[in-house]
Amino acid sequence: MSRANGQANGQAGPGPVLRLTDLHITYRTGVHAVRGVTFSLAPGKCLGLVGESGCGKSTLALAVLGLLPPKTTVGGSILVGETDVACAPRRAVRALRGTVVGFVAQDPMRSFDPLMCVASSVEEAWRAKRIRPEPGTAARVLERLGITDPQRRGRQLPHQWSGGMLQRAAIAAASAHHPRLIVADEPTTAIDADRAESILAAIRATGTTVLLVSHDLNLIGRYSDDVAIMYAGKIVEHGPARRVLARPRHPYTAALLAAAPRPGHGLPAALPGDPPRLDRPIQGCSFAPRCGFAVSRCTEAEPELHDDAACCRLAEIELTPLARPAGPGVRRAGGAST
Amino acid sequence: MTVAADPNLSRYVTRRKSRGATILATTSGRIGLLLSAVVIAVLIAGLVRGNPNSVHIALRLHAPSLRYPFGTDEFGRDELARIGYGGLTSLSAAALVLIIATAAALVLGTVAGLLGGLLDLVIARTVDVLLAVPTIVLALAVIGALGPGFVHLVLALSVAYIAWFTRMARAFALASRRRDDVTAARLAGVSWLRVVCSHVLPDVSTRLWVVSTLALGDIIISIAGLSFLGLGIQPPAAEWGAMLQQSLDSFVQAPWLLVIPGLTIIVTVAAVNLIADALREMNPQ
Amino acid sequence: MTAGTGALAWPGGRARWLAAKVTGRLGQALLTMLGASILVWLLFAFAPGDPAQRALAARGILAPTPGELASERHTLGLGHPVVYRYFSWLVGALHGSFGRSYITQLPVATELGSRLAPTLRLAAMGLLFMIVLAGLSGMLAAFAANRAPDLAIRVVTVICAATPSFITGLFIIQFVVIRLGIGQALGNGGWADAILPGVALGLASLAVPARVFRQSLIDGLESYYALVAHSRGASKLRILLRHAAPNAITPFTHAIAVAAASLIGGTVIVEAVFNWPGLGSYLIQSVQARDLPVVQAITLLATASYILASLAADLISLAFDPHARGRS
Repeated sequence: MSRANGQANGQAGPGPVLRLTDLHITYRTGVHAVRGVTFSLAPGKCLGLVGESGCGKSTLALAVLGLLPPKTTVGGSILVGETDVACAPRRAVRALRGTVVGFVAQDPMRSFDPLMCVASSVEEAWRAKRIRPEPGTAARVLERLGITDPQRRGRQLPHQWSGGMLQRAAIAAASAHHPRLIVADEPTTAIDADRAESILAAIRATGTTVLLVSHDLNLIGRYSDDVAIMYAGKIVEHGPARRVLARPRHPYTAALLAAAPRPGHGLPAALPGDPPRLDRPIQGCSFAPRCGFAVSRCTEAEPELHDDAACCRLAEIELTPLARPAGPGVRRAGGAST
Repeated sequence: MTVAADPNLSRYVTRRKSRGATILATTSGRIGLLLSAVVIAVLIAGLVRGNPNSVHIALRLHAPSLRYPFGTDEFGRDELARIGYGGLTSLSAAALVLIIATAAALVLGTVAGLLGGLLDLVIARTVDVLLAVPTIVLALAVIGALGPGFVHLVLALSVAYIAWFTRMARAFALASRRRDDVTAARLAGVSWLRVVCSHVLPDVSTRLWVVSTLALGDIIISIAGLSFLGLGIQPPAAEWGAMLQQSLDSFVQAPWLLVIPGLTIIVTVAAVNLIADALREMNPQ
Repeated sequence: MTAGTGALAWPGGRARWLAAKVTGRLGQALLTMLGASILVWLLFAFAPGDPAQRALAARGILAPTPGELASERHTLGLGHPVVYRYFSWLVGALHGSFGRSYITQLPVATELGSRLAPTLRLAAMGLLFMIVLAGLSGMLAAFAANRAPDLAIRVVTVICAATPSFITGLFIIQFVVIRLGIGQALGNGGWADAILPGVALGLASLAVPARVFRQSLIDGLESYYALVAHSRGASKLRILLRHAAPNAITPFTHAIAVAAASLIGGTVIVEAVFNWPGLGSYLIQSVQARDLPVVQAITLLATASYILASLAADLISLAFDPHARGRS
């Protein structure tokens, strides 16, 4: 099978696959969408990035691929392997896309060129770099992802496939070249709920390092190794998925968990208020206006990530552990459920 | 309580912005108005120069000079005066065609769109057939049947453009019939006639005028073309297209007789098209 | 989970859906053609004045005797009822016979036959230039959207839209043919001579198709699948040519079909400018001479061409419709 670059399966290679350092992203309109994000992603791991709409997670996902709109200011660094996407020349970033970093978009029905057959779309990253893939490559990858009769179906046009199948094809396209990293931006939001889990399982089954972006903490928590909660452009909690879901340390995480419907626990508690506007500087903790634990010092200085959570009252508040039924656990390629 | 007073319905009340102020807001509008000013200035300069048909054989084929800024033609006639009067003729014919075609289309289209049924079918199919004939060919066919001349020219072009505008007006009327404020008024018991007059007609009319001004440039071109062929406005009347035909005899030694009417047509049509574009940008429906 | 809408939902599958669409369009075209034939015939049958008198006047007999009038009426078949005359004319037209010219008394069809080829060559040249120039400028304008090349193209298209084809033709004759000595002012109807008038035709009609193509390409470049293609490493040029362009063919083709009407009209006048021995100059001569059977015939031919052009455009866009293309 031809490889566009010499990179092997995402498990190999020393050092983190993705390392963000103090990332700031400001759109041309003045909206400061990402306000100082730092994390790194080790090979083979899956990081779930969770937050409400507008928290900056999609911006971050696009930034890793260098797909932000023109005239967007990017501060800090985004290291994919050795390349800093934030400041590398366009050609270098384009060399990464498709072959070193794969992307799975939110809406599978609109992700495909309506006039190009699915197999050709899956092979797009090769064709874009003028490499001829071996015949049958797309069919093989599609079959690995659970598409039956891939030779014939691959020659069909996107409108003949269902949403779930198309998303699998998108995962095939993203993973066919054995990239070091897959960025999945809300891959299950546009999928029927009963299919969502299988899509996430398929992504993890590729064995690649994954940055998984979503607004659904419960779903993502079950399929990721680590979870980072984003609010108003900053990470407010970051830790192993099982721990964060069982014992959240930041009031916002607890609120997110409480807002999800849980049978037998009464009505979900919706979070009042709205996230802050990002086109103005924020004074103090960005979550303070909606936080049930806020005191006066919360509005003075913005807390930094310390001990997995960014809250100045970390030592003082006791968040009730939530009784949750045990999930299916974290899935990993070739490994048993933990 | 009037419709306008209820704040919830305010979005249905269209406020007419000051037209002049907002045309200047668009680039096309600005350039269009600038070019129109140039054309109007030239027209006025031509109109004040006196008789465009007075012949001075001794002065024939003079190049542009201070005395005759646009030169003279092969009969010694003042080219600037002919441009001025020619413009009056061409533009008034075009305006006439536009007004007749738009007014007729407004009636036919609204009737077809609102009443439906057999009348709509007949009107829509006739329009389809008329639109299948290319405009110039249709105009030539009508002139062939009736003969040349100003009146027949206007009639011929009106027929072609009535068809086009009626199709648009009918579509607008159909859309209008489904609008919420029409339904609301009918439910409130307002008679069909009042609904048509106060809701449908103004809406269809505005949208139709925006579309038809886009055709004004084409109308001017058609008039110039047909007159160039000798089938429109007849000599010795000054008309831009006819002047181009007359220049053919001597345009090798007198290129200004070709270039000046040609450029005048181009600049005028460009001005009209740009203003029509600006109007369309202001009415984005 | 079953997939597909449109073609696959049609009972009988994609082939039947295609057949239904094509037959539908063909039927529509035929009906419009029939309507146009009625219109053309009515125009002349009900034109003011006495047809017999007009026919004689076209031959130079301005004060005919009652005998001459009667015999002309008989030749023209004016004694028969209107509907019969329409159908006999229509049947004749379908067999290629359009009556006789008022002036030459020769069959109209003969003269049309010799003039058809030059007009087709001229129109083909015009169409070629229009499609190529509109296509290229649309692509360039979309690729460099809102930057200098786009604005420059915008200015050029505004000027082209404001310039009638006959004025471009006249300018070409003045500045290219006469001053530079390139080409012919009196066309001989051949392909080489068709280039200059073809340019004049193409320039006049390219503005709207160019604008439509540019907008559709920009929509493609800004679409969701373009973003995803970007994420897979495609360059902007590849997205323009390989993804946006095929999806923009349908609106472009429709704009070209609409522009075909002004192309046909322009052909008529440009033939006059270049003394082109085609149907257009024949039409003009006949209108000037009030030779109605010829005008009728050419009007019908022009209408048929336009209807054919629309049909061709519909069929091409069907070929680029994803629902028509998918294999089962």
